[in-house]
Amino acid sequence: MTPLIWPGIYNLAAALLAPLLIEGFLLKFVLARAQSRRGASLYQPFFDQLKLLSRENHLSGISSAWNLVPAVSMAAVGLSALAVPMGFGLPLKDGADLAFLFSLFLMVPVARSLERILSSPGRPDNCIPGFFTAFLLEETTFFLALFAVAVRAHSLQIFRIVPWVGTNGFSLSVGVASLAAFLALQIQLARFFRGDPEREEHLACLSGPRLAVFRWLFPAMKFVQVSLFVQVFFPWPLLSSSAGNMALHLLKVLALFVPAAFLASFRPSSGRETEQTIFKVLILCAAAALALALKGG
Amino acid sequence: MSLFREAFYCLKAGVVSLGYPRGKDFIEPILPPVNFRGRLKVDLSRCSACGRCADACPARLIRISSEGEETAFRMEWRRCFFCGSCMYACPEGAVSFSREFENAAGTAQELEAEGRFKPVTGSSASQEEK
Amino acid sequence: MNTREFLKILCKRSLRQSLWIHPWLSGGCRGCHMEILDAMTPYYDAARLGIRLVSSPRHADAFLVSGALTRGTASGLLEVASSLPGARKVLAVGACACGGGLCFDRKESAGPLDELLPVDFYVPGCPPRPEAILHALAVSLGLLPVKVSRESLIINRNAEEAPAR
Repeated sequence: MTPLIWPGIYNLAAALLAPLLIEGFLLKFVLARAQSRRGASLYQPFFDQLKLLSRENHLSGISSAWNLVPAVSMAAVGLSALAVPMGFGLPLKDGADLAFLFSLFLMVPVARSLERILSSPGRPDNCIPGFFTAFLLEETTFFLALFAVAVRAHSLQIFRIVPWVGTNGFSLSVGVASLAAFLALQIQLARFFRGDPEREEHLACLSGPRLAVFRWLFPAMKFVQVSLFVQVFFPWPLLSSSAGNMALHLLKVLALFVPAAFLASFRPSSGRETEQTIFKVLILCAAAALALALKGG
Repeated sequence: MSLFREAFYCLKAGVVSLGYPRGKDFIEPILPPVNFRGRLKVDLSRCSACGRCADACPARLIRISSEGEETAFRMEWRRCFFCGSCMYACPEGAVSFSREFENAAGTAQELEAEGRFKPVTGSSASQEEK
Repeated sequence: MNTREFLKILCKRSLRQSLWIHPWLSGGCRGCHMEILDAMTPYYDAARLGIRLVSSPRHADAFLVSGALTRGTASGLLEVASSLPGARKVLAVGACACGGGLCFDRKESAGPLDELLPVDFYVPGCPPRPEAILHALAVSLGLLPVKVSRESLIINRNAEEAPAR
């Protein structure tokens, strides 16, 4: 593994700060304007996280060994941010491939679900939370779509997949795969903006710094996924200066978050039905993309 | 389609927030309507200590007692629900409602009122009973 | 001051910019509950002050209790209050929570809120206006002074104005 220092630092800083900035921007300029009100300040998510760090940690029935869960989750997201290019180069060049990234993303909900199972032993119906199953399905379809591109590029390494579409252009399988990945992302992003009970159902028993970590963690994972999507499917235009590339990448990521926020602001109640229809289309597209890629089209 | 119509109406409305405490367009202060029943205002220079407000109050909040030379008006308005019975019962017109709605208090003692006064001789309405 | 103290002060001051409230309704006419929810609507927009409604009491910084306490709901209230964080403000919203309200002398009433929980701030009104609730939240953070005192009702002057009849 050849790590690069400056791209690594930039990637980690972007994964730390950009999700909160994007959330603040969307809450003020998309959701608040759509609901005809002045929103919170632009840095409201930062104030929320800072305030949560000063609250007490309300652990009920969980042993202190589960202090590892936030640390492991943060490490997983940090490593995945290093494995994904964000306009400045790829820090973890030889060690990053799709299977590694998929397992890192899975580590977070698995750890969270284990924590929930072990902390509430008297309630077996609450064991596997709903968000985990939904999460697993949409993550898998996203990575299936990327796997279609990997099949065309004949490699699972990210540093080979990312420039492939840039050099070889859009073929049919890549186009269908991009549609599948886009839909998978929008379903997951819309869940963040939809409404309090659904958004926070899996966070309801946390408080204090633990809650701050998990409130940051899920947008950060989505940020990394959207960065991967943007770099694989829409790398154009490639500017000569790296600062321009970084800024353009962040703008593209923001542009991908906007449709989910927009739709969630107008119809938060009908989210579930639209989600199910989109999910059916999504499964078909992912399967079609994989089949076309295997056929060589 | 109805989603886009909804979006159109919401975006056309602009920003509708009243920016409390500064009001529309964040310039003038917020005031409730003229006949809003906010905090009570008791003018003890008009009070004749007839006790009709104390009888009329459904929550038994007002207590008028004579202590030596002076009369004391006491009211514990924690559970006042601003019905206006005391205002309508007072023959002198000593009780009225202001437009003050910012009534948050830190302790229950701040929500008690006490005033000592010398009652005036009442108007003809209250003199009939005496 | 060293870094640790600076970070502590920074985190505590962030509470002024982001206050998470959990309203709890213990029955009654639900007018105060509607006014609390009205404060979150676009017309009054408490979200621009950072105030957010959270659905779990563990996330809450301010606990807004409204409605007439009855013996049935009092036990539920105590259970919810036990899962609030230690550093929280309890606000009694409305005439019923502050002092028992209209039905204070009934046998079903469990009295005012301060017989069950230590109350930090009282918001009288039936129901208090949404702006009054926002003022109370600002008072609880220390941003605005309390405007009532023991003398705030009494006027001892030769008043010429007659009340509106």
